[in-house]
Amino acid sequence: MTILLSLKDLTLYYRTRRGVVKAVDGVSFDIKEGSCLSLVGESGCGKSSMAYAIMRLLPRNTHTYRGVLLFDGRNLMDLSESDLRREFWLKRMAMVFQGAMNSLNPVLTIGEQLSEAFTIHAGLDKLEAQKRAAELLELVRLPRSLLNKYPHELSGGMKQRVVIAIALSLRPQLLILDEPTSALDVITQANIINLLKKLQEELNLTYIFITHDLSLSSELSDYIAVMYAGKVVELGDIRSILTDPKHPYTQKLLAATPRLLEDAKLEFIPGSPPDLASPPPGCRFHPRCPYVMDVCKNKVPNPVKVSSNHYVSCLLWERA
Amino acid sequence: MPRFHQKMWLKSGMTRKLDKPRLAAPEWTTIFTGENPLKTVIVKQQDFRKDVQKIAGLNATRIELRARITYNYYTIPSELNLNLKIISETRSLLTLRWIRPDGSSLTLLREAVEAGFKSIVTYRDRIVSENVQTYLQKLGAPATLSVGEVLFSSESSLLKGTPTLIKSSDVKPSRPYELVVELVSDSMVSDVDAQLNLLGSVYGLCGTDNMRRDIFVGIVWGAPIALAFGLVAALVVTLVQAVFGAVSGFYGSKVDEIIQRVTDIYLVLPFLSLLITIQFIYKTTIWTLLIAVIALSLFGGVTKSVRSMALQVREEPYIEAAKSYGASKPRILFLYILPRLLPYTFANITVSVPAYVFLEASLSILGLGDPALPTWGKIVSEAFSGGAAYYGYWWWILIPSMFIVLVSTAFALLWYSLDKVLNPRLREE
Ligand SMILES: Nc1ncnc2c1ncn2[C@@H]1O[C@H](COP(=O)(O)OP(=O)(O)OP(=O)(O)O)[C@@H](O)[C@H]1O
Ligand SMILES: [Mg+2]
Repeated sequence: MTILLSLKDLTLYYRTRRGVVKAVDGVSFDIKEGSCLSLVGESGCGKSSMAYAIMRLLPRNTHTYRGVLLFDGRNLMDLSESDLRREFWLKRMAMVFQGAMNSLNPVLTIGEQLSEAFTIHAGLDKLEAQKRAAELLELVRLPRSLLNKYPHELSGGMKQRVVIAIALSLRPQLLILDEPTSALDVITQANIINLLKKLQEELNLTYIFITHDLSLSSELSDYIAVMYAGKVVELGDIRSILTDPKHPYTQKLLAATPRLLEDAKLEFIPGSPPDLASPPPGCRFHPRCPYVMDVCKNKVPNPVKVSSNHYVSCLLWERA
Repeated sequence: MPRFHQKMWLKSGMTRKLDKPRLAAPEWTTIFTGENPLKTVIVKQQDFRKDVQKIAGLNATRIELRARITYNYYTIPSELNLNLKIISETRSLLTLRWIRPDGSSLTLLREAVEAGFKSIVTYRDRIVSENVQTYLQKLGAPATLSVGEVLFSSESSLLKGTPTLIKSSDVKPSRPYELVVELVSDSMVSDVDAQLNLLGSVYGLCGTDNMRRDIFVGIVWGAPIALAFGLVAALVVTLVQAVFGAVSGFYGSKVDEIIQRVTDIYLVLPFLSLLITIQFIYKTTIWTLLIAVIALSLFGGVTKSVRSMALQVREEPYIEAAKSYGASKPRILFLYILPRLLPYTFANITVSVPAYVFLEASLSILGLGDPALPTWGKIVSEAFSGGAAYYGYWWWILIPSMFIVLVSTAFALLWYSLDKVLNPRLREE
């Protein structure tokens, strides 16, 4: 399998009144074409920021943005915004935002929003675009009758599908899904996940699936990247991460995942995630780590390969 | 269109017809005064009984027109005006005779006249006065009586010096007053037509001004001007300000800074003084006024409020999403942000319509309005210069003012309803 997207030392800092927030701090990994990578981590660890960094959709208060973003061999960092608009956004990579319920323009009908991409980017006429919009609705298993409806007339799950449909309108290769199911009930969640699976097969999509729900990510993904405080602490194929987690944070995260019909008390991770404006020196997890050593307090761990598809950034493994 | 309005207004008065009284109160005032004064009575051309005699042998024509006026009012007319259209190849002899219901009569006029139009304001005509004086002398009555009194009083009361009006119904059977117009000329093709106007002290719905103009006409033809001025100014100013506000909030940084500082300057501009200066320099028409008002309000309160709303809306996820779909900035601004903000500006439009109607009116009162168009403000302004407030011609001031207030109230009420629809907190489910 070829590598579709390769990140090297991707960094995104925000300027705030409290100082510089290091939301994404030197992240590197590759995504193979047709695979699905899950990005998991606690709230506020920088998952959405990572998605923005990959899309190159930067907020106004961006402080630092650097690194290499090789998409199919081309470095997105070298492109201008108009190049991105012309060649990449929606055409080769698209994103479904966190809280997709609010990603629809409340003053336009679903049909208008679905056909926008076709009239603006593909230059189709209105009628042809409407036809394509209807096809898109079919693609995400929604009735055509939604075309003339406004977003507020749709349920959350329907809106989520519409947003996915819009993102897929120009058949991108890469789709970033930022917590696409977090506001939905479990049945709807399962439906959406199944839809995403089918779409991946039909359209040969590559997913970056952002979630804080490990069990959900196991449904869809081939790889899991665990983020903590702006860094990827562990990355590996799904089997090794779920069965043999190496990083103490990943272990704690798995232990904190609820399972049905199991009496085991849920563990929680003592302490809270660090303030990204002033992260602790050394390993960022060290204030909460049960295995903390003295070195952890000032040495930044580097990724260590523990097996063919499994990397971990922890000094416990670096020494061994 | 405005030229047409102007013509309608001018035509309403100041014409040769003299068919409206000067400074007459509205007719409905009689309901309150309980009197029955004369409302305007017009004897039209076709209401005259016409009698044409052609005397072929003498090559002469004698035409007699006879108007019959059943008069049962308690006051004499404020004016009695006669309009004549005389067609003749030569000078003709014109005779006017007045016959009261009791049969007594007097000659008002006997003179040689040229062909053409002729208006006779009987109360003030020099020859009529002379004839009336002669009549009074012959009768032996005091010479101080006015023409109107002489025409409408019985001879016996004139003699006593206490003129009392004779009504048609005073004689049995009831008889009208009669005016006989006689034209004799040495021509076979002569003709004469007449219109007699008996003007009272009340007129129409809204009364008249000092130039005999029907104020109702001014109000009706001034309404589209007031509304057009108010609506266009309110619409353009609000929308322009809203667009600037949205641009300012959406683009941020330098653009925002510039627009906000310019708005600050606009907010402290001495609006009225600048407007007065502009009106002095340029020709004052309602359109230059409109352009000046718009130019002086390109930035303002709406810019500020829309900007603050744009700051909120631009952070909403669907804007972010639109960006990721590759939507250009203008597209996001006009399709995603402005439609969200515009409903809030509608309310502003409705409240500023009356504000601009008021502005136009107050500028007119300051003498800065359009000199030709009949605007409500100008009617009020003319009322002031005509001394309406001093002499008590209240209808001349109050009626146009009332219409200005009416429009303001209408738009204020419209605003209340719009507010209910647009303000989610007031929305009734
Ligand atoms: N535009 C911004 N300006 C400043 N700080 C920001 C901005 N966006 C995010 N942050 C901060 O960056 C950190 C990472 O935020 P991010 O939204 O990427 O987290 P997340 O992992 O997506 O969390 P969640 O699971 O709650 O969505 C947080 O501390 C957040 O406060
Ligand atoms: Mg997020």
